[in-house]
Amino acid sequence: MSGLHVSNLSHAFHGDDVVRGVSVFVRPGELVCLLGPSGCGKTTLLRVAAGLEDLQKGEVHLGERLVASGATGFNLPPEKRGIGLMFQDYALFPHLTVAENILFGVKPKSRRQAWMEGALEQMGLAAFAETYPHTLSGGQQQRVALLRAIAPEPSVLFLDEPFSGLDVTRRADIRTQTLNLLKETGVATLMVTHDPEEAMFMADRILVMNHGRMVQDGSPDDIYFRPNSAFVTDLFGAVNRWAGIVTGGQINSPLGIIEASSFNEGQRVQVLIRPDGIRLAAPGTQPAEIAGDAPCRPAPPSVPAGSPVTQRQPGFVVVRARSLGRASQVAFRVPNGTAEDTVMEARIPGRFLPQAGSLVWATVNAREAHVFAID
Amino acid sequence: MAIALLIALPLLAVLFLALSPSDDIWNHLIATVLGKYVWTTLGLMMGVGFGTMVIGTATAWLVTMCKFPGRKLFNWALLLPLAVPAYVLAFVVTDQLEYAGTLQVVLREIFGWSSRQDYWFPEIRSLPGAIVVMTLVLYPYVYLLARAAFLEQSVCVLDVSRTLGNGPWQSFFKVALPLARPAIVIGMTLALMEALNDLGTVEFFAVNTFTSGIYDVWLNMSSRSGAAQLASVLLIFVLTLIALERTARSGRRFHHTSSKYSTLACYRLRGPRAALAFLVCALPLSFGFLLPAAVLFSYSLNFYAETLAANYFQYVLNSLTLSSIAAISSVLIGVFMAYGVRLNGSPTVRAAARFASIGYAIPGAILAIGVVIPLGIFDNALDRFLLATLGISGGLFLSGTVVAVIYGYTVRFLALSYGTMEASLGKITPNMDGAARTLGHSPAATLRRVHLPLVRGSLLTAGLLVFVDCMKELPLTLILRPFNYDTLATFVFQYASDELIEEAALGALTIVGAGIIPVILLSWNIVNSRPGQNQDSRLKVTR
Repeated sequence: MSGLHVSNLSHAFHGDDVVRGVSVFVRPGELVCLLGPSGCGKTTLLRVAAGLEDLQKGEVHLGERLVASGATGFNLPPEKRGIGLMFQDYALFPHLTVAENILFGVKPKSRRQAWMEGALEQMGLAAFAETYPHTLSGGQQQRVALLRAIAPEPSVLFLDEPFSGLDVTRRADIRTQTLNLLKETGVATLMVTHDPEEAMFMADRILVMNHGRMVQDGSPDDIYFRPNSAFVTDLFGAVNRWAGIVTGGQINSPLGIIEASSFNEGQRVQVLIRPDGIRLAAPGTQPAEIAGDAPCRPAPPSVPAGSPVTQRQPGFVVVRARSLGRASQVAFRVPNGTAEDTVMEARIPGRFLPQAGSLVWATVNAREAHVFAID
Repeated sequence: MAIALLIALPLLAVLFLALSPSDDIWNHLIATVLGKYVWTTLGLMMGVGFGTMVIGTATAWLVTMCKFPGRKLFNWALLLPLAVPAYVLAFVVTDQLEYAGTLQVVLREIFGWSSRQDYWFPEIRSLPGAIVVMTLVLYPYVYLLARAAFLEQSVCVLDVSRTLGNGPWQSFFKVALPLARPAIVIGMTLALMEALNDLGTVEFFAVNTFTSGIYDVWLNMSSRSGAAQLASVLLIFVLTLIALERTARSGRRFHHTSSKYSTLACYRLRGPRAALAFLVCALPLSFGFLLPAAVLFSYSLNFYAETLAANYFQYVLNSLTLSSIAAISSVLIGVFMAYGVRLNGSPTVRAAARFASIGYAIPGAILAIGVVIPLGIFDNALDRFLLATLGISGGLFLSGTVVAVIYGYTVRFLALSYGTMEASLGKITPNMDGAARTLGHSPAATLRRVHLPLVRGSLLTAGLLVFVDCMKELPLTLILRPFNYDTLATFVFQYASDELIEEAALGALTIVGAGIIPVILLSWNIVNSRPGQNQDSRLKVTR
């Protein structure tokens, strides 16, 4: 049984805790993403697991083999671990050709010669085997670095922000190519990224980290649709926030009633709704249903007397509407009982561009309304 | 760590000896010569500092910001005086300008003077003379750094100054000069360190600076501790300079105000202004390099037979051997230390490496004393050990041998190779190490297969620079050399001191020739330099 097992790892630099008690398990053939903002400790975790930093607390196993232990101070040097690591800046050796780079970690070189030729062919790099890295484009360098990391057939592969150096237009292609290659080799892979979409696309499982701690561990679908904290919800871009108080196991928001049965009566909570979770329609019509939507009930008509809410029926005032091509971004004003209205953003698939100042009706996809306690 | 200690040993030895109470030489020194040493040394430093600053800054500004005939040539040729050791220039200048020298002979003929009483001529062998000589060969330090600083300056800043109503002169004094100040200060401190190191000029001119005092106390009064105590006072000057340099260096970081660089807009100079600019650049170049080189060359042509007869080839061989071994050992130790710091960057190791590499700032005379003391202790211990165990006397095993000289060279010039290695290793991202390590290579294999191939060029440069500096090095060699063992430098110094400059000319010319190598390297660097590049590596190359 191979794979990577990091247990209860903690790490500090000059007294600052960077990683605090994180455990990671990557099965053979599995691709796990460490996702989090910069400085959350994900790269440190990867470097410690790879052996580039000495372990301080915890244990690292590669398969059955203990390679580092904080209790005994044992650290197997990285060159003895049989791992592969691809760096964010690729770190190709400038004085070696592409072929020499790829076979740098292979002994004897002839063992993987045929494999390398095939892989270069498959990656469209066959013509560059004898050239030097600086003549290659960023995307080509990225692929060479990847091939170099997997050429010695490591049991575990580490990828440190493997796509961040690429420009956006090339990224999608190279991601697909990389994913195919990794699935073909079946190596256990731990990848670090700060880009949630990249993590969603690449990962079998995502581990979200923040301030050195593991925040959530789950499938991409879990992380997106069942985030366990405001922090995880926020990762995927700006969200609409609404503060409310739980009454009768639910929250009355201007956009509808939101289920909150797991919270105490009278608890102050915040509702986070992604722009994609809001559906809009012209007054008098029902917002279009989208497959998988779980619409919530509209807000009750009874509104406390004297509340400005009564005046804004039957809808919300549009602030601005912009076309993003495949979707439309609409900002609208939601009264919140104070002089300043809340402005919410909705992203509607297709083309939906109401005039600024006109009225729209809104509902929320209940699956995308996430309720968390306010500490 | 151990190596760093070995390298730092001479320094520690001097400090130790200076602090330990000994004979009443101290009182004697204070009563007699100390005051004179202090004032002469201060005077020398002020003069050389001011001179190099003015010449270096002015020429740097002219070649970077103005267009006039010969600018491209001056750009690199202004570095040439760096190839001439101060003592060589001192000999040539004295030879030409003294009573029997060419200039005074010509003057006497023109004006019909017959003797010294008929006219006034400045005394060459004096403190002002030493200042002029050193300024002429040391200004390139300031030139080099000021030039780099002016190149680095964003033109936008100067443009802004112009749009705000400042003329070219005002812009220079209000914007460009303050921005370049840290670089100029660094250049000055480097020049001053060299000035303090100088022994040949001050001995020959009989100017009583600390360095010459140490030499005299050492050789003529045979007082080891007295020399060490003088050395420790000189160290105060040196440490002040180091502190000044470090401060200026840390200040540099904040002096980049804009990252926008465009081609420097030059002031085009015409007519008398262009002639003036030409003259400002041509004078230091002529007196610092062209004239001495020409004089030496003509003497060499006429007197080469005498030089060859004086065992010239033996001296060349000695110089080559010593310098090569010192270069190789400096580079090996430099690589070892720089890679050690890279692998284990703990503050202690860093500090040790840094301390070991301040040898470059320490005048050779001090280092020489520092080398002799520990070697002497070692020899005595060995002698006693051999007597006790084998019943034979080991004599002086290391002291007074070439080992001592090479040890001294290595201590003094380690900074060159260490600095060069550190700078070029610093350009290799640590991820390279990580990549090689995760690909199954041990640290040693990583050094061999990744780092050494990548820094091969700088390695060679470092070795070459150490080599050339060892060829020129006088004070260390003079004090540490074995009896009757001469290198080119000591040969030239002794012959020229005995007014036999003609016979020594070929030797001096050889030293100057070797000195041109780093100048070529530097000019190549200058031609290829772009704004925004790391200037510090170049700076270390200068030393």
